[in-house]
Amino acid sequence: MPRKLTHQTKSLLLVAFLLLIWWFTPVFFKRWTNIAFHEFQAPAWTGLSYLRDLRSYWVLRSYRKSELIEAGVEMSRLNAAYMLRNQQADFLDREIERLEAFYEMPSYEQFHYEVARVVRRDLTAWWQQLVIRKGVNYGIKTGQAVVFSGGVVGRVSSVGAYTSTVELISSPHFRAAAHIEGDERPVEFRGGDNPGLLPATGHVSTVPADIIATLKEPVRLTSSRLGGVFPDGLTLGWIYSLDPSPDGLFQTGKVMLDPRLKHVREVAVLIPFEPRPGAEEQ
Amino acid sequence: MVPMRRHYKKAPERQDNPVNTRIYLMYVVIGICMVALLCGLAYRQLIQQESFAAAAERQNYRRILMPGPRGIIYDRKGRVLVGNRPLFSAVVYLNELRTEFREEYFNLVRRQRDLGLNPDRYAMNIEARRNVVMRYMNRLNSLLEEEFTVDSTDIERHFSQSLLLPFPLITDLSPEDYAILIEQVPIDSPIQIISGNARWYPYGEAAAHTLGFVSDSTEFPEGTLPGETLLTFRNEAQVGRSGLEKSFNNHLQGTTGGEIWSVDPGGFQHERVVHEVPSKGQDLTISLDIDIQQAAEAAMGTKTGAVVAIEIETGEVLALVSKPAYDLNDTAPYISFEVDREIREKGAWLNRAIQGLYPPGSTFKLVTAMASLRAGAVDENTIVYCPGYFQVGRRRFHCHRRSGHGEENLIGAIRDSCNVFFYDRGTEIGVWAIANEARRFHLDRKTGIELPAETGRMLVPDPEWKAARFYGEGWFEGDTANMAIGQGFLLLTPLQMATFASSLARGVEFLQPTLLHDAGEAEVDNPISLRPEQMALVREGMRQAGERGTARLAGNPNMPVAGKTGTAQVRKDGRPTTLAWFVGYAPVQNPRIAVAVMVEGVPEEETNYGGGSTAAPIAKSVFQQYLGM
Amino acid sequence: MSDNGRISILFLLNLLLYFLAGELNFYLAHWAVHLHLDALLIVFFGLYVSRTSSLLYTALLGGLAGAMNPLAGGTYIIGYVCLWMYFVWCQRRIRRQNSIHVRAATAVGQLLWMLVLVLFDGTYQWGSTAYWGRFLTELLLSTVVIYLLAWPWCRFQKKFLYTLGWDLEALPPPH
Repeated sequence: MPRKLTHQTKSLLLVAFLLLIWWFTPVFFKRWTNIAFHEFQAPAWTGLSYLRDLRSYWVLRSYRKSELIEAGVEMSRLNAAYMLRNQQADFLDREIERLEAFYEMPSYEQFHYEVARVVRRDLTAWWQQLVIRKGVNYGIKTGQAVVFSGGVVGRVSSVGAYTSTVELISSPHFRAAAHIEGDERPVEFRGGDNPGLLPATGHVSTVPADIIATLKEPVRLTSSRLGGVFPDGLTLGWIYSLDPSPDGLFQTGKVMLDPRLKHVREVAVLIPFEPRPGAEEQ
Repeated sequence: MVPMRRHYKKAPERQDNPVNTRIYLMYVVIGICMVALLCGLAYRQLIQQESFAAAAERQNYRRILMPGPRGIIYDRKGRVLVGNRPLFSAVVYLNELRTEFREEYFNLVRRQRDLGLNPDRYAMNIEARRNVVMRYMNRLNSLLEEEFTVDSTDIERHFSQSLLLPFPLITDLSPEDYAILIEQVPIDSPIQIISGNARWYPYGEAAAHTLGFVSDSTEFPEGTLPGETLLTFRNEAQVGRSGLEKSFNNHLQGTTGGEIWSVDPGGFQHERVVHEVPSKGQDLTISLDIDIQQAAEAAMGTKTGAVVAIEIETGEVLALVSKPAYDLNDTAPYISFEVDREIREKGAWLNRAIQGLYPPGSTFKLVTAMASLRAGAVDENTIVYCPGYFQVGRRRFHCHRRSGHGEENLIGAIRDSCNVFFYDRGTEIGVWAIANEARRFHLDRKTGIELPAETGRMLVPDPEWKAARFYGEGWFEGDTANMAIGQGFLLLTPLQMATFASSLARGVEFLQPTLLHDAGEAEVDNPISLRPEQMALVREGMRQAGERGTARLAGNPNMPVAGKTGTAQVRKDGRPTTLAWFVGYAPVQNPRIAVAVMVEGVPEEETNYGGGSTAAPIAKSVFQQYLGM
Repeated sequence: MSDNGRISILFLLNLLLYFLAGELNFYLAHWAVHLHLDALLIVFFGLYVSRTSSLLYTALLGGLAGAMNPLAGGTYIIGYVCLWMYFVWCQRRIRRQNSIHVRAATAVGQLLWMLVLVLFDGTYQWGSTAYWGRFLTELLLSTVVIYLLAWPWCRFQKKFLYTLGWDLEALPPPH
């Protein structure tokens, strides 16, 4: 560079040069760079989450024996209750299978759950995502449903070797088909209303005009299997009021999402079972 | 002196004069030009300013009109007969694909050049647009496992005429497809899932002809959106094409809203500057009772014909059936060629209740009876002997009972539907008396019901009409005999006969039928100007017909009905057949409902439909449904 | 240790800050708040460090940050590089020894970066009150935190370099 140029002009030229190079870089290279950067820092995020786990472990270690016994007793009670529920669920599953076989209906797509720890939460005004501690190594794929004890968490938006990114239902880019509980007609759910310091909300539209939601009797918005990602019946949120659209056909409303979404620590990815060989022919 | 002379001479100055003149001339010319320019400027700035501003506005803004959804149609008990259902469509805004169009165009041109061909730029443009739109369609196809395609003609038409409106890729998505697209098409994709509405008919075929159908049209009121002079794009509205949808189109039509967008020089939208939300049209409550309508339709089954039921107190039409009918849901959101062909082939477009013209047969004997009473040719003591036929000149007119009814008075003649009695009395009083009686009951004109396309070609013949119609041919006594029993040239609609029955039951010459519920006081014409004892004879004849005569299958002991049946002889498609008629009312003492039934015979099937055997049981279903007996 | 070696340590230091910020946000998510500390990562590179190395490390940080969010690839690299250019531009317009100047320049840099995010992403949310509420909350919180941390963070890095035998104060300002 000529000597008479100032430091700032040189810097500007350098920036311009860098941007020019970036402009002409092939897309696949940019994509590769992105993935490489992601994979580069994934171990660090995972490491941080293990540190958190370790910290939790030591926090738990600090409990008194009596407290642990109490927690153990409580847990065994819960285990007993869940075992009972499991038996009921098994019975219902068998009943469903029997009815499907009787009516020669195709079987519902089934999932298995891959439980994963949350290693990073990135909840901003522009995007709402989590990074979880499992990736391709556990068979996770883009687009799969992610759930937790409170209902739907979101959808896998990208998958790395050992981590996956989950787009939360509160994200402004999230949209899904849903049902009002007890109603078969699909409605549209969108995330995106995330006021600071307050619980996240979503937005529901194309709700049929005959659905009524009040503060006293809110309705539950559940996931729909019609969209092809989520199974039926998982909670998306609660609707406390609906406003009719000007055409009188639909209603729109705000969906109160589970506040636990903001600090969820463990989620489950729903991985569909591969179709059985010969299932297509049936 | 010399200097002075030298001063006077000033040769060079004098030599400059011609130059100066030319310069002044130039100044003048330039001055005139400047003045002209200034005038022009002033003219444009001060006088033409408005038109230029308007032109600029036209150039820079586009208006999009969005019609509001139509109002709901309810039956008299508040049940939805015509509603709106959501209509989901996958669309793409061509506006957002500009870059992709350009890139694809350059790719195509480059490819052509690589092949050593001279690219046709216009054709390349069209192909580029189609390729890009098809790419999005293929994305939908892969999600929905379908094989839809797009037509470049549609794209070009849309591009040139409706650029700012969404280009439909798939219309009327099923709930499953809607859910898949909602979930799997990214929010910021150019593909948008939009919701509109289409008419929805929960009762399918029921009252199809009365309710009518709609079709998409860009002809609708503009509403209050400003900018009438701007280039306007109109979304399609649903406009009533038949039935009540057409008659009450303005009432049902929603209020138009819309948007005004500023656009770039290419006509692509830039920024929305005005937005008005469209709103739903007004609802309509009509007089039909869907239970009675469905009962009548069920009773009609697969037969061809019409049923009309009228509430006597109000004149409100409770049922208006025309068979065969069509499922209104097949007409929404549009009538496909297949549906149109199917409906046309079974002859279902015709609303037989208000457009079908039929000889009323023996049901018309009630008119002849009243004409005879009015003329004094019949009273309670009048007896006519029926030997089974009636001789007019050289022609013998038969009674339906070939062995004859013997001696019949008016009541018996109505009860037994004796032709000879009415041949005899009809020819006695003459054609004019019968025709005038029919006209008194408005049988020669439209009823004026709130439906479009009610026929006005009904015919109450008389000698003048015949002379005019058949080039001076005279009116014969045989014509009068035929007319007296509702045959011959006489043509009426089932609605007219129902109106006649309701008028008769109410004792007026005309009870205005209406399809509006709670429209106010029933509109009636003069009372029938016959003495009560004369009217009593007709009513008694009808009562006995309903009790033990030809119309006995229309009622039962718990539900006495006054009625009159008819079996008219007609030729259909050149082959003889019959029309089965019933007109009547119930209950006998305190009439509340009047019904007219007409069933067309089918020559191919050699049906043997009769008023008493075919039409009366259908009327019975209607009476039972209304009276609950 | 060479200059580049020292700067790479500086890079690692900022990388550490980047991970710490991520960890902080992990907990702040509980209150639906996110701290944007992007300017803090770049301020020292832009104001005090030599051109080529600092630009390279800024771009690297941009790449790392960009890989963890759903914005179009390269947004963060370009954004961070522009932010670096802003700090270079500030070199002759502020007194780098003045804490207030450094704090203010960093806060303004962060503000600019967040405004860029508003312009490039979330345009379809502009009509939402909740969006603006969230944005303003994060903007306010982030700029306040950055204002408080900018000078200590720069001073710490300077001292850290000093301990490594590189006295930035003794060097002539870049020309």
